Amino acid sequence: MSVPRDYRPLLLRNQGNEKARHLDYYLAHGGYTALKKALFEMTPKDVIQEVMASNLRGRGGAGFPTGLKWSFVPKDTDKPKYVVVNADEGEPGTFKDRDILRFDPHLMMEGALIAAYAIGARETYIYIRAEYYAEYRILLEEIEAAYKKRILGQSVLGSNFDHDMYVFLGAGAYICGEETALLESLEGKQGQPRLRPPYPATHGLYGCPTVVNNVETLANVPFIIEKGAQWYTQFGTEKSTGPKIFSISGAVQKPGNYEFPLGSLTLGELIYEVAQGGPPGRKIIGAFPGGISAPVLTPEEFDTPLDYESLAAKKTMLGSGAVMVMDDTFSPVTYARRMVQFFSHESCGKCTPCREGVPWLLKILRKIEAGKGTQHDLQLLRNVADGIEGTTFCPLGHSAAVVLKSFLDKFPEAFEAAVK
Amino acid sequence: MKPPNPQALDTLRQRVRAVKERFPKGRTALIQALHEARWLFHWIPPEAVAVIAEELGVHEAEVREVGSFYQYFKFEPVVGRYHFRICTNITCMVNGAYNLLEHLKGRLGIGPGEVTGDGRFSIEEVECIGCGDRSPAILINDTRFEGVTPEVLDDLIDRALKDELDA
Repeated sequence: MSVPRDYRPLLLRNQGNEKARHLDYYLAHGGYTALKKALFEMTPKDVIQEVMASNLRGRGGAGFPTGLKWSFVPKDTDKPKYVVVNADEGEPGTFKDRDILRFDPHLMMEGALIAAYAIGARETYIYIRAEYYAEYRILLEEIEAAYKKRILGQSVLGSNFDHDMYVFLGAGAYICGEETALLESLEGKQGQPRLRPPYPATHGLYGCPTVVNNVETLANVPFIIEKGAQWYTQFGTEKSTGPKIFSISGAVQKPGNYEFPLGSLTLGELIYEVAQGGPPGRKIIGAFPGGISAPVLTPEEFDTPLDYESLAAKKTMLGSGAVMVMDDTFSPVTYARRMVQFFSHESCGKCTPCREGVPWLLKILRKIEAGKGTQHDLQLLRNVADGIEGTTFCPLGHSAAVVLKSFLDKFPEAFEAAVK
Repeated sequence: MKPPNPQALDTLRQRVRAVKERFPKGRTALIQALHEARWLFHWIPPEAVAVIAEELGVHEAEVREVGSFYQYFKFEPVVGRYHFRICTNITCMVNGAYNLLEHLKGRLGIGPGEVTGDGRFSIEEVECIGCGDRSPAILINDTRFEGVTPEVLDDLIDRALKDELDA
């Protein structure tokens, strides 16, 4: 494999261009033609078919097929339907949606409008994290501009499709990135995940049929509709189609957002070639390949291609596409402790294994980090992690356990040394 | 703690009404209303809870129950005029966030969860704020500062002391 240097980004085509976010710019560069095509030349069913044929999968972390998600929304219901945009980009190391919102918000908005047309939704809610206040302001401005140009409101672009769009500012809770917790929050409640099924497609916002899609996912949609699924699937592998933004950060010389087709380069190529490797004098010891919820990989495993299947084969995941690189500034024990500290801090408190178990992991790890741990503590870590894995209400606590176990498995010497 | 001035509470009332108009369904307006209170008072004083409860037709206990779930809403006066949110998650940690936090604590003489005696500064250690490309990063109130060094931090504090910091 080699880095596809001649690839021209789609989602990040306007990265760094501060003018590009404005509606006038977007329209002058062919914006909203995909929406026009959908509204005037396609039925909602055609739109869903096209997105299904593109094999687009959710870019927020779970990788669920987007078209399939849309197809689950009931057609014969008199309840209102909703599109909810998940802009609660809280997965540590992830900042891809931020750049779409900053440089190309209309790309996401056009995708949301197309989704709304496809499922028959009258309203879209964009749930954006509080930490993205600057992007929240951008969205407020651009939505207002879209109303003035009749892209939102009654008879969108002169069609018989009406649509309203709202922005909702989150308030600092990682768990709200989980779609059902997000819906709870949007309803003005504590952001705790709901029991599933029923899924949001049938029982979502205010109990009504709802599609929740990530920002990057929706930003792909206009390309699929405008150029067709066949064109879109030229990017990526057979099962992991399309472009993906990788946010790479940590111990690298050129951190940032980089867009490549899925499966077109390896983790190592992204780290050492695109991001130019670790700072001089520091040694890279491993990386989270898909956000903090993705079990870590060591340099020996960096030849793994960046796509859903290849990473799953390594018992980790593509997740949000956030690569966080660790070097020898800290020991694996400290990285593991900081990772568990995150999950402990963000546990919503709903289920016992997560609420009680993850803080226990943290307590043991702090003890080991302080040099006061014993062999028994290492065993205890595994036992507690085993008790959390697969037993939590949502993936949060589960992730803390499996990512910790990846640390224990991949850096056994460091943990052994820490308890001697 | 002296009670918030009545004019600010009136402003809050107006803003909560506007929020309710924008988000009329269910209790959706509640979290946005709490933001309005935060923007006015930094923390959420009991008088603001009362206004929100009254305007949205919910019990004060509901306002606290929901609001206290979220890190942005503090129902105790632990938020200063300049609230520093220091990210120490993996990426920022690798790039010096703990040194930054120590520097800030030393400079302000307070720890996370505390406010300086003059009510000007407060510190909170937070999780990833989505700025890994220019870490370490911090938020002061809602404004993002990236690639922060101890020197940059000193400059930000000096500007805040002169009320010249836009945050």
